[in-house]
Order: sequence, then structure tokens, then C-alpha cells
Amino acid sequence: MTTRISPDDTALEALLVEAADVFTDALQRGEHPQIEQYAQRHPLLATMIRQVFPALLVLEPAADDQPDLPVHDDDTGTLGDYRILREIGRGGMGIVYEAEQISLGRRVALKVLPFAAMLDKQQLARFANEARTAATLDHPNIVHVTDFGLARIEADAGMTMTGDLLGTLRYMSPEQASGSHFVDQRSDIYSLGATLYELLTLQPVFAGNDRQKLLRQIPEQDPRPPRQLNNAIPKDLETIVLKAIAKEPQSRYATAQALADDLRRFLEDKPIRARRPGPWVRLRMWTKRHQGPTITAAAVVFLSLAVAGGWKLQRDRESREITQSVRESLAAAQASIAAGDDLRASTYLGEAKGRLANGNDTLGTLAAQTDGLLAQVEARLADQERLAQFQKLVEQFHSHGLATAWVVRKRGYEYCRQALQLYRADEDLPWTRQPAVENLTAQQSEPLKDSVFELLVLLADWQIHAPGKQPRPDDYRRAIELLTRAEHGYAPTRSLYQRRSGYWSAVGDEQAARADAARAAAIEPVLALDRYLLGDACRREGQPAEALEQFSQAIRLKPDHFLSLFRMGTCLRALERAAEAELAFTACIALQPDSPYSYQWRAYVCAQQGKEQQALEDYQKAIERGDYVAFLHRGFLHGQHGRSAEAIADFTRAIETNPSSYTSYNNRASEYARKGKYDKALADYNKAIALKRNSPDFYCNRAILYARYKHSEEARADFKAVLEIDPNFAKAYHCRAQLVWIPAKEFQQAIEDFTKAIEIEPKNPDHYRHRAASYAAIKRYDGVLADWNKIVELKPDSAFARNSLAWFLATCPDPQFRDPKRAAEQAKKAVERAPKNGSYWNTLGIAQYRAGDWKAAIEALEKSMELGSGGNSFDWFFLAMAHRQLGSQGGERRAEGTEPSEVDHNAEAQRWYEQAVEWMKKNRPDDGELIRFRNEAAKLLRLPDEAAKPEEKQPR
Amino acid sequence: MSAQLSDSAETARLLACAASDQQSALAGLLKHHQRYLRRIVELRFDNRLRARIDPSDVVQETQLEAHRRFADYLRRRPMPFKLWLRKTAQQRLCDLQREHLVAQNRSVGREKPQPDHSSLMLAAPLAGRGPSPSEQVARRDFEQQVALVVGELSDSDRDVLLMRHVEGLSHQEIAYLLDVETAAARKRYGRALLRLRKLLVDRGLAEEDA
Repeated sequence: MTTRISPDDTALEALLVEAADVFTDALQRGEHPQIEQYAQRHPLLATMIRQVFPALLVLEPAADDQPDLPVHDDDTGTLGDYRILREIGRGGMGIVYEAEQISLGRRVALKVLPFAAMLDKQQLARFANEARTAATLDHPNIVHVTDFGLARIEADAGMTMTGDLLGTLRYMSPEQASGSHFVDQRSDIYSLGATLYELLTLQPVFAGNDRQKLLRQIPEQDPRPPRQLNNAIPKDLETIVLKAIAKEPQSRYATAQALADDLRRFLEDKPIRARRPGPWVRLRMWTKRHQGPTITAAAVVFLSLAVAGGWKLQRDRESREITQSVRESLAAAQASIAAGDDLRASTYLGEAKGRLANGNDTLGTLAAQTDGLLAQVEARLADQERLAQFQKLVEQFHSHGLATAWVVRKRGYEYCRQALQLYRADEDLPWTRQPAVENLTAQQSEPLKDSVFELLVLLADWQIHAPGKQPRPDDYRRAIELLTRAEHGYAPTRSLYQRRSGYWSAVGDEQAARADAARAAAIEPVLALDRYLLGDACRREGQPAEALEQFSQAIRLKPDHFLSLFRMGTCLRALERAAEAELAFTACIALQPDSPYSYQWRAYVCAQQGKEQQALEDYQKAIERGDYVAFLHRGFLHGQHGRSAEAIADFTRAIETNPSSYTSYNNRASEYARKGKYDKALADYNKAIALKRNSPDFYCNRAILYARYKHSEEARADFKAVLEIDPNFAKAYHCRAQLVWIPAKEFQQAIEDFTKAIEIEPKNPDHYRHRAASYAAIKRYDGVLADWNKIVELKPDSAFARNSLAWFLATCPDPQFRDPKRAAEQAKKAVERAPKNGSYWNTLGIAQYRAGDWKAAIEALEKSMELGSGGNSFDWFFLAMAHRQLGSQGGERRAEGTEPSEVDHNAEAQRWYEQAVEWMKKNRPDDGELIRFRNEAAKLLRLPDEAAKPEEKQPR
Repeated sequence: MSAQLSDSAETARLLACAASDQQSALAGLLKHHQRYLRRIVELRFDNRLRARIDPSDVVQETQLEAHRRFADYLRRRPMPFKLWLRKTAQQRLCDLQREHLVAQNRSVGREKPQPDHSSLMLAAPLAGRGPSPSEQVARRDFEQQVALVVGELSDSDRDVLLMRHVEGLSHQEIAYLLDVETAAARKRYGRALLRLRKLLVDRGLAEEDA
């Protein structure tokens, strides 16, 4: 509807806006501007201000618009209602704490978002203080997860009203009836109160069958006080009931226990205490306990009322006796509740009920009325129990289902089946007909339904993909059956149809397969499970990046989807994103602290990042949770860091827990070998081979052991065995060449083996390197050159490769293979990449000398000496020669009269030569290369050739 | 970004810090805007989502999204931070609506989540205002009535009032969002105030003209 604005208003409008701006600014600064003051300050606008500004106040949020939370401040650090116990894991994705919920005394997990990740204990305490002012757990940094405790009924226009539902509507709290989202256990109190009201007055709080009317009355209309309907009802009792059904939640009793307590006081003729209800806190968290105590306490309340209702008949002695014994049973029930023993409490309740039923008619009527309630209560107890059991089984399933050992996975799927049986999901009943879910809240039954669906789909998958067997048509049919059950009972999803389509194809029904494929294409993936299954399919096909994308989507849809989180972790690891993998596994641990495999994987990725301490701690946790494979992994980690004793201890433990673990024997053998314990190493390799006959690795390892200890025959035999099992085991060829042929100086054989290795692994530079050495030994310099060229081609960034090539090109004994220019080029490249390596400069100097660049050679050699603390004969011989060359050059120039030399090069040459000879005599008298260099230098300097001396030894 | 429209002093300071320490700058920014973010999410939260999601979830998801895209925001600076945050929250709400409501084959209604005036009734609690219960009750009545009246205003009037008072945006910011000049935005606000006044008087919620 529009309202016309007159021209007069326009001028005032601008002024009003100005005044409103000032007022608004003040409000937003947290001040409390007085409307009347503004009216007086702007007389022209006074009326308008008084008319409009109050409404603006309504729109503006209150300065303290969030309820206050009592915060206990102590050393361990609290956060609202949570006492932080310890950190479970930390990373860029946030910190996960184990915490205790103070008000309920139970353990929970709290996830805190990244920007708080930098906080330590002190900052956390400060953060808690800030939370006091910000004041709820709606702090930006806290992530809430699932919630099993709150009752929520969605008052939806689309719901059909059956008689039962209308009945429930009568007990609906005002906030539920008005569609509010601020709903908690006090709504339960209201329902209780409404029931009590009805018990006392024999009329509902609001009668009638008109749903719309009820929904209006409940929040708006005050009920008739019970004493108005029956003035014999005691005043205190009326007070209690009215308090329970107060419109405002904070005006009611905070818990059913509080209500029961007040009733008890009434029954004991004590003054009732109207307790101020505690501030309301909205909680969302993981918890494994159900609402048992609240419900049982409610039952006590009902029966107390029944007893109280029988108060008028206490004149009758029989009734008095019955009343007394019922009271005793109730007291016992209350004591059981206080002790947390719901089961016992319900026994006492049953007793009390039985006694009432045996009383006279009136009591009997009351008993009958409460009968229904009690049955309800018991049904709810049973249902909550079942739910808890189901959750435990699912947890076990998850825990086992992700083990690498398939026997463990198989056990996991047993848990899966058991869980499904709890809800008779093995029968083809549509979900809403399942009796066990009637008494669950929507908050509980939705995730349950999703869980059951997920279990069915995964179980179907297991029929086909259980390792150790090829799936047969019967397996496919069973899988189809499971998926069909899932389809009928729950929501159809893309992944379901995709899979079933595949299964139809496998049994040859192409028409059904096409139909399902079409259905799959028509649905978008909506469930976390959909994404998970899609991701799993990618993972199986070896596409970790695509799998990761799907798993991430799954987690966006359902942040606590354990399977997706776990798989995300393994994919990240496969993509070598170890840090992120670590976070994923940390989240898994937070979700399921008892599953060992999350710890095991996290340990692995920590080790990969060099976080050794964390890895060790995690392995320990995995071991404590029953994963003995962790011994093996941890032992490996110890071994990598040279802690042989610890490694051996761990491998020994691994062997103890699993005596057929050949890997453990093999690994322990390697450790023994490293420590030089030949006999023990050999014994373990033998054991490993005995356990796994056809493992080329084990034979190879044993061959290496034999070879190192010079048992050449045995080594040869083992290498032969390896290559019979696996003719493409490059490592075997390489090791045989290196450890058998070369020590025996059978270079040709060695070259053959290296060549075989190269055929199998043409990109492995090690093979070429060792072959080059063998070529050099038999003076096949063409081979040496070719191999080093190849290595440089394979590893163009390797300074070592460049240097080796340069060395060869500069110093090859056969001058026809020398190429000084290229040598200098390559040497330069080596030096560029590793400028601090003295021997590379040495190579460069020599190459430059060979290329005739004396000055550059001297510079390079001096650099080599600088880096090599003075250098050695490899430098000095060439230094001498370079100076000599300069000396002759200088002499010519002096003769021509062109360039005076400042340095006496000839003297230098002499000096360096002598030094080189000294050093060589002392340190390397037999070095073939040095001998050649010495001869060359001696010749150049026209000195008597040391080679002429009789004690000359043959060059190598 | 228009020259008139800039970040508040505190926001600007925090954004400047982002050059050296992105993480803590963002943490500070989100903390500074936490109330605001909460308010805009509550305002636009579709009631039908309440069974599945809580506004807190959206607030936190928006913050996560902001975290994810902060580097890009810093690079491009398409608009003031507060408005960028607002936009991110709206997008998140849109996504959620599509996800949860459409997936259940229910009609979404309008594409963009509009502020639902009924949420104002819930958003204005009694805590801290007026000591006595009767005054509390009276206050609650008045608030409900005002919310109803606001609901009767035209969409554009209501929008500008909610942006100004519930979201706490400045005239410049509102101008940016409505794509008009600041002066024009002021005028719209003034008009809305006058129309509100008329309705309040007509409904007996304000004194008659003298």
C-alpha cells in the first residue's frame, strides 16, 4: 500500500533524516539516546520523532542482544560451558579439543576454526573472557556438529493430521507451536506440565480439534487455573503445574528433575521452592548418550501426580497403605535416576504402577491413565537404547572397514549387518513403518535413516568388491536386492542407480541397466553418501585428484562424514599433500577416537613431513587401539632415523603379534644387516623366504647380504633365483653387477647386467652411472661418454652429472675423447648450480686449462682451493702448468716488448709443482690420474720426469 | 570501488595488516564484523531451513568461505569488506536454500532470500529492556506490532529501513547496494521513514498528529 507524500513533507523529510542519522549512530555506538531529548532538541520535528523513533528502536538490535552465560574461570581454561581438557589435533583447518561439558558432566569434542588456531592456553583464557561478553557458543570460531538432544517439531502446513498427531499437538509448547527455532528441553517440561494438568483436572490444557486454533491458543491464551476446574486441588500443586506450563521457557522449570523435586517436596508436605531457571544455552555437539534421565524423571513425575491425585482418598486406610508403598518405589526410582541407572529406575516405576493398579477403582483409573504414559516412556527408553547400540555398531563398522587387512574389513561388515538388523532393514519395510523409529525425534531419525541407507549401499558394494574372490552372478543379485531395498525405503540417489545399473549389466540384464543409468543421470548427487561413492569409484580407478573433489563435496554436505574424511586423507597422501592429509586424519580421530587406523595413517603422513615425534606418538596410539601393524610402520620409521635398537624391538613385537608377518622378518633382517649381525640377518631373511616363497625382494635382499659378506656362490644362486621369479627386476641386475661381478673384476658381465637393468628402467641414471664406471675400467671410453651424456640428458639439473661429464671430457686418458670446449661448458653449468662445491671449480679449472684459457683456469683453480681449504695436487699440478704457460707467453711478449708481466709465472709454476709432488707423495702416491697429471706437468716444466725413477709404480 | 565508499577506519587498518599477516588480519576482521554477520544471516534466514540448519551454521560457513576467498578479495578489492562479507553470506544462503529446499521438491519461492519480517519478531528479545513483567509483555506486544507494520511497507521501503537499522549500513553502503547516488539513497530512507510514520499513526501505534 502506498501513502502519498505531500510537498510540505519534503523539507521536513531531510531534517528528519538528519536527526534519525544522529540517533542511529548513537545507538550503533552502543549508547542509549533518549527520544524525548531529541524531540526537545528539534521542536519542528518533535511530533514526528515521538512517532517514528520508538519503532526504530525496535528495529535496532539491543546492545546486549545475546543472553549471558555463566563462565567458570579456572586454570585449565574454559570456554562457556566447556572445560577444555586437551588438544586432540591441530592444523590450519582448526583445533580439535577434548572438552567436558560442565553442566552435564560429559565428554565431548569441540572443533575450533582456523583463525583461532594460533591461540595458546593463555590466549584461550582471554578468549573465554571475550566469550563471556559475546556470551554464547555462537562464537564465530566454534563449529557445531550434530545434536541429538533437542526436540523440534516442524509445524508444517503440509503435514497431515492424524488423531495421534493432534493428540501430540495438545502438549506442544508455545515456542514449538509458533514455529520458533529456540526449542530445547524446556519444551519437554511444558509437555510434561500439560500432561500433569490433564491428570489433575481430567481436561487438556487447551481442548478442541481445530489445529489452527490450537496453534494460536497455545502461545497466546492463558489456560484456566486448575483450581478453577476443581477447587480441591491444593494451591501448591497448582503453582507447580502453572509454572511448568508457563509461556516463556525461562519461566518454567529448567529440567524434569527440578520439576520432580518440587513435586516431591509437595508430597512430603514441605514448602515448594520455585527455582529460578538457569540461563538458557543452546548446545550442539557430539554425544553418545541419549535422553534417558529426562524421560525417566518424567515418569516419576507422572506417578507422583497419580499419587497426588489419589490424595483425596487418603482417608481410606487401604489407599494410604498403597500410597505409602508407591511412594517408596518412587523414591527408589528417583535414587536410581540420580545414580544414572535408568534400567533400575524403570523397574521401580513398574513396581509402583503395579501397586496402583491393585488399588481401588479411582486409583486404578489413575494408574490406567499413567499406564499409557509409562509404556510410552519405556518404549522411548528402548528406542533410545537401540539407537545407541546402532551407533556403536556403525562406529565399529567404520573402524574396521577401513583397515588394510581384509580379514579385519570382513569383520567390519559383520558389524554392518548387525546394525542393519537392529532396524529390520533386512526386511522390505518402508522406513516410516519401522516401529523402532516412532519414538525418535526428527533430529534423531533423519541421520539414522541416512545411516541405514548408507550401510545398505556399502554392504551391497562389499558383495562385489570383497577381495579374495571373483564376484559371481549370485553376488550381483544379492547386491541388487540390497540396493533395491535401499531405494524403496529411502531416498533414491544417483550413486544408487549408477551402481545398480552396473550390477544389472554384470548379470546380463541390459534393459534394466539402461533404465537405471537413465535414472541416475536424472538425479543430481545430493547426499554426502552420493559424493562418497562417486569419490570411491574414482579412487579405485586410480584418480586421486577427482576422488578428492568428490570427497570434499561430501564433507561440505555432511562435515562429520567419517568415511569421506578418511578417504580424503588417503587421497591427499597419494597426491603428496601430506600436511592436508594430516588434518583430515585429525578430523577422523576427533570423530572416532577409538579407531586405530586414523592414527596409523596420520603417523605415516607426519613421518613424511619429517614430524617424527608426532608420528611416533600416533603409532603408539594406534598400537594401543589394537593396530599391531603399527609396530611394523613405527619400526620402519625408527630404522630410517638410524635407531636400530628401537627398530628391531618394534619388528620383534610385530612378529610376536603376527608370526606370519614376513615383512616384519624382512625388515628386521635389514636392521640386523645394518648393524653387521650377519647370522641374525640371515636367519630372518630365511624365515621371510620360508613364509613367502616367491618374493623376489626377499631373495634379492638375501643375495645382497651374501655378497656383502663375500659368500659369492650363494649370492649368485640367489640372484639367479630372483631373476627366475621376476626377469624384470632391474634392481637384481644392478646389485648383481655391483656386488658380484665388479669385485670379481668381471667388468664385461657387469656391463651386460647394467645394460639389462637399463632396458628395464631406461630412465634410472644410477644404472648408467655404474655402467660408465665399468666401461672406464676396461677403457671403453666411447661407452663412458655415451653414458654420461645420457645421464646429463636425464638429469639436466644435476650439477653432479654435469661435473662428471666435464671431468671425463677434460681428463680422459684417451685424448681423442677429450673435448675441452664442451668440458668447460659443462663444468660451468655444474658450478652455476653448485657454486660452493670446490671440486666442481677444480673440474672447471682443468677444463679451461685444456681449452687453452690459462688465466681463467688459474681463477677457477684458485676458487677451488679457496673452497677446499687450500686445495690439493689436483689443483696444483694444473695451476703449475697454467702458470708455466703464462710464463712462456709472457716471455714471448717481453721479447716483443709488448706486455710486462708483474707475476713471475715461472717461479709460481715451479712452486706449485713442488707442492703438488710433496702432497702426492704423502697422500696419494699411487693415484693413476695424479700420476698422469704429474707426468704431464713435469714435461711441460722441463723437469726430470718422476716417471723415469725406478720405483715407479704402474698406473691404475 | 567508488571513491565515496570505503571501509571503516578499523576495517581499513585490519586490511592494511593483511599484507604482513593475512591470517590474523582476517581473524580480526571477522571478529569485528561478527555481530553484523549474525544479524544479516538471521534477517534473511528462511524459516523452512530451520529444521535442518541453524543460522550459526551459515555464519560459520560464511566465515569459512571468507577465509577461502580472502586472498582473492585482497587482490581484487571489488567492494568494501563489510559488503563483500554480506554478499558472501547471501550467496551461502542462496546455495543452502537451493540445496535443501529444492532437493526436497519444494518450491523455493523467490530466488533471492529476502528479509523475512517475521524473523524480526524473534530477533528482538526482551533481555535487558524494562524490569517488570508487565512492561515486558507490553513491550513485546509493541515489538510485534511494529514488525507487522514494517511488513506492510512496500518492499523497497522495508529494504532500506532494514538495511539501515537492522544491518546497520551507512547511506553510502546502501547507495552502493541499490546502485544509486548517496543523496538518492538518503531520500529513499527519508521517504520510508515518512511512510512508516503514517502507518504507525494509522494503526494506533503512535500518537496522533498535534
